[in-house]
This record gives sequence, structure tokens and C-alpha cells, in this order.
Amino acid sequence: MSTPLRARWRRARGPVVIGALVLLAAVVLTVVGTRADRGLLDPDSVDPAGGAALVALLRDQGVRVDVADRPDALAAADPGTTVLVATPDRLRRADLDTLARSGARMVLVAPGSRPLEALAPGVRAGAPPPALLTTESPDPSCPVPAAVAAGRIDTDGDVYEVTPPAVGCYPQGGTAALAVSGRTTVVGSATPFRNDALDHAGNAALTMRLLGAGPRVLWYVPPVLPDDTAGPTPLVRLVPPGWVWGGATLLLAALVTALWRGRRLGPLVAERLPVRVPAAETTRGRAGLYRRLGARARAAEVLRDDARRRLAARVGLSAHTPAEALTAAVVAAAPGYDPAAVADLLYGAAPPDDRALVVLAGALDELRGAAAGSGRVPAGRGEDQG
Amino acid sequence: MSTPRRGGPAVGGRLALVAVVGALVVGLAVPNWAGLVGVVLVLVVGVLVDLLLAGSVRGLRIERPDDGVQVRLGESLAVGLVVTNSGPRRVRGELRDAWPPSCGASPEVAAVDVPVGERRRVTTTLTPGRRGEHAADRVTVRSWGPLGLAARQVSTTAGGRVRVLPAFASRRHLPARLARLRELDGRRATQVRGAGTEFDSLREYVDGDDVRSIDWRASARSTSTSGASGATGNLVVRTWRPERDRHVLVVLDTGRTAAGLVGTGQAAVPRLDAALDAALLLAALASRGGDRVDLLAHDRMPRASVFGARDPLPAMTAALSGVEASLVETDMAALVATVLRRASRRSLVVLLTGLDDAVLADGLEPLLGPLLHRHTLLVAGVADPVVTAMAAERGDAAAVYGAAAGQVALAERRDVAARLSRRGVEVLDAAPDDLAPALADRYLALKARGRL
Repeated sequence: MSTPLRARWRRARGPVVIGALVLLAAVVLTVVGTRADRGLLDPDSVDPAGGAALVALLRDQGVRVDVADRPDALAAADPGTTVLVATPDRLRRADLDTLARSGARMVLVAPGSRPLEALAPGVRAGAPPPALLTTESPDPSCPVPAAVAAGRIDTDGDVYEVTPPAVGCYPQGGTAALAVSGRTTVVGSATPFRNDALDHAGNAALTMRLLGAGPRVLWYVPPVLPDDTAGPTPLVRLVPPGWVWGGATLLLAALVTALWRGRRLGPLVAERLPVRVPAAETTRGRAGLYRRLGARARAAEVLRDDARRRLAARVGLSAHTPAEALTAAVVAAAPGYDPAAVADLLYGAAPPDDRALVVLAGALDELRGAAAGSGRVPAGRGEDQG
Repeated sequence: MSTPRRGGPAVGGRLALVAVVGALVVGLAVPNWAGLVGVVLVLVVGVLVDLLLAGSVRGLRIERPDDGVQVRLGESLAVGLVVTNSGPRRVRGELRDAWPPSCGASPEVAAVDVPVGERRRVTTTLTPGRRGEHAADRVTVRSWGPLGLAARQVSTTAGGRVRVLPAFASRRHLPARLARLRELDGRRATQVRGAGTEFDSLREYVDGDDVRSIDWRASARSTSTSGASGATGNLVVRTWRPERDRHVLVVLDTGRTAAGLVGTGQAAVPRLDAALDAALLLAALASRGGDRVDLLAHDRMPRASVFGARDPLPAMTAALSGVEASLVETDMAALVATVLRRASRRSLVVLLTGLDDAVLADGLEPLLGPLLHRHTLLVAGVADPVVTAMAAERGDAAAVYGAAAGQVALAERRDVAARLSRRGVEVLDAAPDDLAPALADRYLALKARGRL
């Protein structure tokens, strides 16, 4: 029993191992890849990456902080409101339009190109300059009051190319880590807002000034919603750039696997097999027809005929004995049976329904048993034989 | 051997594994086109190295030393292949000796390792599930390179046939019937006197002989020639022996009805197989009984025949191994004509058939005259235990309608049997398991009655 199991395992071992490897790699990458983003700037989170400390500081200063995670909350933004969006890439097209129309001050943390186009004209995502040209924490070097007041901050995130009239701060080899375009402030890094980095350098000063400029802050955490206006995102755009090549190699591996499994050790052998049908099929078919047509009269006649034949053989009469003679002989052989009842059993009318047919079949069997058990008749050879 | 060879390279699971590892490396470490090209290069180089270093499969000579073997159905047989490596490198890999699925070849794939200039024997065990002539298919060899990434493969033919003989399960009934046959042989003259028994010899009367067996004419002659010793001279009795050198012709109907499976589940066999089993038992018994046994398998045309074989049992076993039922109506006229043509002497003609519908009786009845005029005809039918069981079923409406249908079928069989009996045909109707012994018993009874 274990031999075919083992053989099957041996055959399946290769694909299973490969599948397990791929699965393991996927799990590892998912875990490693998502840890950085989890709970980032969550206003309720006291994790190192959360934003609860900043919220508490703002409230201490008498600023009203509303936390929202539904798109309709953006309608409440007015020119007196400062809207903080920690993950602006999740904003839908409609949300961007709402924000652009609201006239509210906006602070966007590490936005991609789409929110930049909509909310911060003149600011474009830039490529990070070579490490040699960057300084650990550059000076603000700009006229933005919040930046000037804060001095040096943590600038470990994205950088932007700024074209006037937008203003860039914390320059890094031609790009800026902070940019102001109209009423929108773009901060390339989330670090200055984080719980664990608020006390670094001028982080707290910068963020407090950016957010505390008005009486009200709308801390917006966009839900992960499908963008209903941007159309379907092609699969390739969702794959991290490196994994396009990894995926291509994986496709190659799939091709090799197909070649491996597809090559047979010699061709299949065909064989002509003889036809085999159960011989009783026709009899079963006839039984089904009888039943479907409710051929009770026919069925009862067949069963009675068989019982008459066997009883006649049992009492030593010919199969063509007249009804009266056979009835008399059977009554004599089966004590306790009423002649009228026996005549009715053997020669009676067709049963009116299926129940009556079943009862009749049982009664005929009983009558045969009674006639056989009487002992009056010598056990003739083979009552079953015709 | 000069056989067509087909082959080509094959890759292994190890190559796929290398490619997957390569995909992880590309994805994690070198996510660019160079990584992809690197993986492709590694795979291609690995495959080329393996193909170059793998032992040549074209230099292998594959022979089957024992061809045309026989095995009885239900038994196993080992068939061998001899693989000779005349190539320049050792061949290590797998070999598949392919047989039709019903041959039950095991193992399907065998490992081979043949050093240069040597030869190895590869054995495959066949456990056939079906009788008949089976031919081996191709022999395929796959020779792996040292890395196990790629292999060379070739398919070739090496001949090979196996004849799977009928199981002859009724062999177990033979000893008892042979004992009965000997009993018949040794019977006292008085017990077997009657029509058809053969006069053997005259001998002197001894106490205990039946007085009815005294041959008075011979006694008188003996007395007169022996001289004057008077009326108390030698009494001479006739002795008899059972008839010998009679002809038995077994006719198998291989038409439509023979294809039907009778019995249920694992015990279900085609009617033909039950009939064939009975035919073999009868042949074994009759040939030991000193009778000549011939065989004819016929549906629309003769399918197999054995006439005048000195040792009929092996000849019949071999001839019947490949006979299968065909889905055609048996041409009774042609069958009877063949029987009349081939059976020159008076014979016991045993027709093994289905006996389950009027078609048989209708076809056979008009032809009975010349057949019965020259021969004794025994028609043996294979009954279906399923129908018998159905006829006895009770309980609900479906069962009772089934019982009625079963009774109709049984009545039809009885009717056919009765019609044939009225014309003087011996009729035997038995379930597949009982057919062989019942037929043997009927043969012995006919022999004892001198009806052969």
C-alpha cells in the first residue's frame, strides 16, 4: 500500500519543492516589504512610526485636530483648515479635485507624481543625487518661515525638483527635501512627524509650525480604495521594478518545468480492448419499462405463471393442468389455505396498484413455501428446472 | 538491430530547480536584464555540458533474448532485455520496457547503469489482466549527464510478444472427472451392455460373470472345436468396453451474446470466457478418455479452429488465447455448414452459446435436420446469475417489477431449451461457475449411455 504512495511522492517531489521555494520567497518578501509602512503616521498610534505625539502636541497648543478616514470628510476642508495627508498616493482623483477646490492649506508627506500634479504645481519628483553631494542634514536655505524657524531637520526621504514660483528648502544637489507651492507644503520624508523622531533637531518645530498655522487640522488617512477614475492599473505597474526581471526568470523556470514534465519516457501505448457489457442490462431495461408503464397486469401474470409452474411441478402435475385441478391439488398440499384464496392468488384479477403487486408477490412466495413444507409431496428433483 | 529509432534531448527537474533559484537571485540581487541573461546562460551551458558528457544512447544495443513466451492468465512472467553498451561512455539513466496497459508491466521504469563495453539485463515482470496475443511496444532509454540537468533519450523497438493463455480455472474439476472416466472404463460388461458400447473380446466364463453376457454361439463353437468333452464344455462370455476413438467437436459461438458479462462485481466474466473454460475442461477430459477433440470458434466466420491435433489441449489453449467476442449476430447457417463440412465422422457436437433469446432457436431450428442426422448435438448455454437473482427479488415495487422481468428472461430461456429438446438436442443451461463441471458430467453421461 505504501509503495504507490512512495512512488507518487517521488514523482511529485520536484514540483512540490519548487512550489514551496516560490511560496517561501513570496512570504518572506511580503513580510519584509510591508513592515516599513505599517502604521506609518497613524494619528492614534504610539508606535515609533505613529503620529500620536504630534497630535497630542497640537491639541496642547489649542489646535483642533480631526482625524478622518472617509473621503467625504474632505468636503469639510475650508481655507482655515490645514489638511495633513500622510499617504497622498492613496488619494483618488476626486479627492484631489476636492482638495484643490477647498483652498485649505495642505501638508503632503512624500507624495508621488499624481498628487503633486494636482496640488503642487511646479514641484516634481526628483531623482536622489549621488551620495557624495548630499549632506546629512542641510540648512533650510530658503525663505519659508517654518523651515527657517526649525533649522535643520531629518531629510531622509524623497526629494523634489522645484521650478518657480514654487520654493524649495533643504537643497540636496539641485533638488529639495521640502517644497512649498501655493498653499501646499510638500515634505519628502515622514520622519519629522514620527513619534520617535519628533525630538530630533528641528523636527517638532517644523511640523508644529506647518500644522499649527491655522485653528484646525484635518488629519486625513485615506482608505485603500480602488481608484474609480484612473482606470485599471496595469499589472506591471504594481510589480516592484526589480521583480519584472525576477518574474521573467520565473516564467523561464515555468517553461523549463513544462519541458521537464512534458517529455515522456517513450510514447503512450494504445490497446484495443474488447467490448464488455453486462448481459443483464436488457433485463434491467425491461424491468424499468414495466415500472414506468405501470405494467402491473403483465408483471402479476408473469409472477403467477411462474408460481403455477413451480406449484404444478411440486404437486406432480403438468404445467398445463386446468385451473380447478391445480387449485385443488395446491390446497391439498398447503393445509390451512382456503380454496377461494388460492384460486384468487393464482388466477385472480390484476393488482390495482404497486402495493398490491408487492403484496401479491409475497403471498405467492408464501403459498409456495407452504406447499413445499407440507411434506406430502416427494422432493422431486429440481423444482426450479423447467 | 535495424529498427527505426526516435529520440532527442530531455531535461530534468534539477534544471527547473536551478531556474527557480535563478529567478530568486535575479529578483532579489540583480533585478535587470543582465540577471536574466545570466540565468539563461547558466541553464544553456549546464544543458550543453550534460548532453555532451551523457553516455550515448545510440551506441546501445538492446535485445530481447527470449521472444514469443507464454503465460497463463493470472500468473506472472519475467521478460528480460539485454542492454549492451558499445559506446565510448558509461550510460546511466532509466529504461522503460513499454507493454500494453493490460499486460501489467512492473516496474514501469527501471534504472540502468551500463559501463563501457559491458552489458546488463533488465527484467520486467508482466502480470497480464487479459488473455490474447500482446506485442511489446517501444523500449525507451534515457541517459543522464553527470550534472543531472539534461539527458539523451531514444526509443527503439526490440520485438517481443507474449501469448496470454486462458486461465483454465476449471482444471480443479478434472481429477474427479478423470476418476469417473476410469470407473466407466473398468465397469463390468453387464453394467454397460447396451446400444453403442463396443465389443471388446471373448473370454472364458469365470464365476461371478453375468450369465446374460454368455455368448452361446461362441460357446457352442468353442465346445465343438475343443473335442468331445461334452456338454460341460467352455462357456464363453463377451466383454465390452466403453466406446473409444469417438469424435467430439466443440463449437464456440463468439457472436454478440458471448460478449455479455455475466455475474456481478469482481466475479463478472464475459460469457465467452466461461464457455472457453468449459471447452478446455471438456477437451482435457475427452482426450484422456481416448476421444478425438476438435474445436471451432465461429461467429459470422470461423475465428479459430483446431482439427486433428494429436494433443488437443495445448493446441486449443493456444488457439483460443486470442479469441474475443465480436459484436455481430452469429451466422448460424454458416456455422452449421462449417460443422458439417469439417466433421466428417459422426461426432458429438457441443455448441457453447448464450441460449438467452429466441434468435438462437429461430436460427438453429431449421438447420437441425442434417446436423442431428449425422451428429449428436449438445447445446450448452451460459446462464446469468444476475437475472436469476433478480427473478427472486422482493421487497418494493422496483424489486417486484425486476422479478417479473427476470422471470420473463428465464421463461424465454426455458422456452428455447424446450424447443431444442423436443427436436432431440441435448440442452445444458448452467451458471458460469457451474458450466464446466456440468458439461463434463453431461459428456460422461452421454459416453456411459453410448450416445457419442
